[in-house]
Amino acid sequence: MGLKTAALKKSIWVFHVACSPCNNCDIEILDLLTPRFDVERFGIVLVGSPRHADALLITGVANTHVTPRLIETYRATAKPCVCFLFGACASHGNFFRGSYNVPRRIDEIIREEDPNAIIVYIPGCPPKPEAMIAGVVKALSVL
Amino acid sequence: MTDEQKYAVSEIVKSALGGMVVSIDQPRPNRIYVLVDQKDFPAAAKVVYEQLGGRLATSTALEVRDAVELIYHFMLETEMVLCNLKTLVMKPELKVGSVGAFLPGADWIEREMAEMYGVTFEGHPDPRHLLLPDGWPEGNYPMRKDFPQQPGTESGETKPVVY
Amino acid sequence: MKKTILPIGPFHPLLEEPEFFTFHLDGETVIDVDVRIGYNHRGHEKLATGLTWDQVPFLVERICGICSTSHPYAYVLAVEDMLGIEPPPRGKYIRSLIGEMERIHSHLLWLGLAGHFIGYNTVWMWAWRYREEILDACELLSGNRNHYAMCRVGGARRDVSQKALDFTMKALDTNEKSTKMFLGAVADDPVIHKRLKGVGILTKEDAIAYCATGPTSRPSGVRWDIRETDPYDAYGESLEAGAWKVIVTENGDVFDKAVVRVLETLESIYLCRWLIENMPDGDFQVVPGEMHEGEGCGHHEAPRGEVFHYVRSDGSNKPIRHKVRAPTFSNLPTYKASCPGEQIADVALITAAIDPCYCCTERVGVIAGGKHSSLTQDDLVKLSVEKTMEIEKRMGVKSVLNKFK
Repeated sequence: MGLKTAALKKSIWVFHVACSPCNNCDIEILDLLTPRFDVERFGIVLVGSPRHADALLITGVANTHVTPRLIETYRATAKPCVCFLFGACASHGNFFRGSYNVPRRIDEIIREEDPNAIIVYIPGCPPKPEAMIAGVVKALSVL
Repeated sequence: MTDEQKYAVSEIVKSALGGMVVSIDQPRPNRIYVLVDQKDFPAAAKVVYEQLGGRLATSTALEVRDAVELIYHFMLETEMVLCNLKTLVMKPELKVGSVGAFLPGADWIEREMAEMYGVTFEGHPDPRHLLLPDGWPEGNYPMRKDFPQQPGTESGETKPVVY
Repeated sequence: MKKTILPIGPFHPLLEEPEFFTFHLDGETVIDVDVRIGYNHRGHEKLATGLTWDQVPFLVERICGICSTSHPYAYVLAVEDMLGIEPPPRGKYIRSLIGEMERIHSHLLWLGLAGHFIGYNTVWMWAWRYREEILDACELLSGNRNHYAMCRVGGARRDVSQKALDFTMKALDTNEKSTKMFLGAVADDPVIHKRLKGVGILTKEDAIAYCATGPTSRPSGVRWDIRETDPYDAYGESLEAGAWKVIVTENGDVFDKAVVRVLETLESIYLCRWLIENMPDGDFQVVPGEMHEGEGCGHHEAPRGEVFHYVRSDGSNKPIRHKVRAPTFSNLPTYKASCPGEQIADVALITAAIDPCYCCTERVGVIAGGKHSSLTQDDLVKLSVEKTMEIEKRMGVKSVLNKFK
């Protein structure tokens, strides 16, 4: 484990990228910050800029309009960073693969930009908040 | 409102629209379908909006053989009846007067129909793209039957998707 | 006149969908607004024509996660309108119950976010905590916290157990108390009055011209509620029985929008209770039978306004046209009427007051006189919080916001 990865795992700051979601994963992510789940006690904080972030929380499918903005956001994030793909849409496209406005899967887009990107899939429609926390913990324990 | 009172609404609509009505149908008490001619369409919509107090719920475009059918769904809130105003816009010109010119509520939906079906709304205040990206190529209308269910890329050309 | 152009969007660190606003400013005053949407366009209407009639509810559910029962609800009403099917009473009551539970959780969600925007983060945390109980009840009723999948052509998709109904009753009781507490807090706090009253007024004429619906138009004195004017399922009976009433206020400002939502939450709680008490026994679904040619319209009063669906069939197993109109589509353009003349610090609030599937920014660039400076969304919220603090100072109230400095 390098120094950078060790530092990454400590207190993870996240930036939320809503591509073309149905809002459901998004409100569940916000739910994580509120008293029932309260992930801030683990040092997970939602930040306002990708430049401050250790991890990107990506929800939804990437349509033609949002794809270049997603790539731009990924470039702006400090490396190494972890990309969490929340929900079935981000993981494999769900209903929307094959729609005229959804050209590629999100992991394809990110891999094309950076072949060594760390991508974590958290399936479910939407994943339960408990599943989201479990996914983050699991990902951090294998890094 | 009882059903009899609702059935009487089609007579009110008919007398308000006068000679513009091609056909009128009320299959259920709370649904009226009125067909008007393409050239009378904005005038008819104006009558329903201003005289009958209709609220434009939305409008639908759909492709039929040699025309695009437009349906403007007006909710007559006091009469508790949904009045659907229909017209056929003939291909290949696909031109019709704009309702958005006098009804701000129709602004966005006409922009959407214009980019999805290629209907030109004459006199529309703001004829830009609404949902599709700005670089979307001219002449590609995704909701038409001949447009394949294939994704476009940012530059506009379509390519098959591999999952 | 020198104009400043303030772009906001498309990504936002806190909230839901991407949208892009361009504000034209004169000093701190907004003189024009333009909204660019399309970051969320996934082609639902085209996809729906490739699915069978019974698959479409699952697709339209994924249009919006917050009002995730409204779209299938409106869709099944449209198909039932086309086929002339009458679902059994129990099916109708189950669907209406889920629809109202959704309204409660959606309004609480909005209330929390509105609190966050004026700097009252406590309100945010409280509202979302009380919302969890409603979500638990939804999970027990339908099997999932959000996408419920309870609507089906010809009734409800599955039955609900008595145990779940009892649990829901308890959750409603605790929720009523907390909502009333909120109502007291909103109605009495002088700082909130100062901050929200007279801000972002949408006049009655504008609400009618822009065809705004739901809690955007009703605060402006426009009595448009589909549950009342085109009653469906259990809404007609419950309105006659006096279980709930339509909330209408006159001023059209942000304060009224907040009050309407809080009062509607209470009305929904009463309605849910009435539905559970009067839940009929028997079948909860019928077999739809043969599909035939035709067209149908269905609409449902979602938390944010009217959801409208139109379907047309040629007698095959797939719709040939399925039109979806979400409430924000007609509520969003009212920015043009309510934002100009307001201060930039209020804009976050006014846009939030419409409860759009709201979205803002990753970064706000201010271009003024050729100079570039950069603001983040945090700065925008800070502007809003600072205004609240200034009002507090002027009124001589002890600030509760110091920790946000």
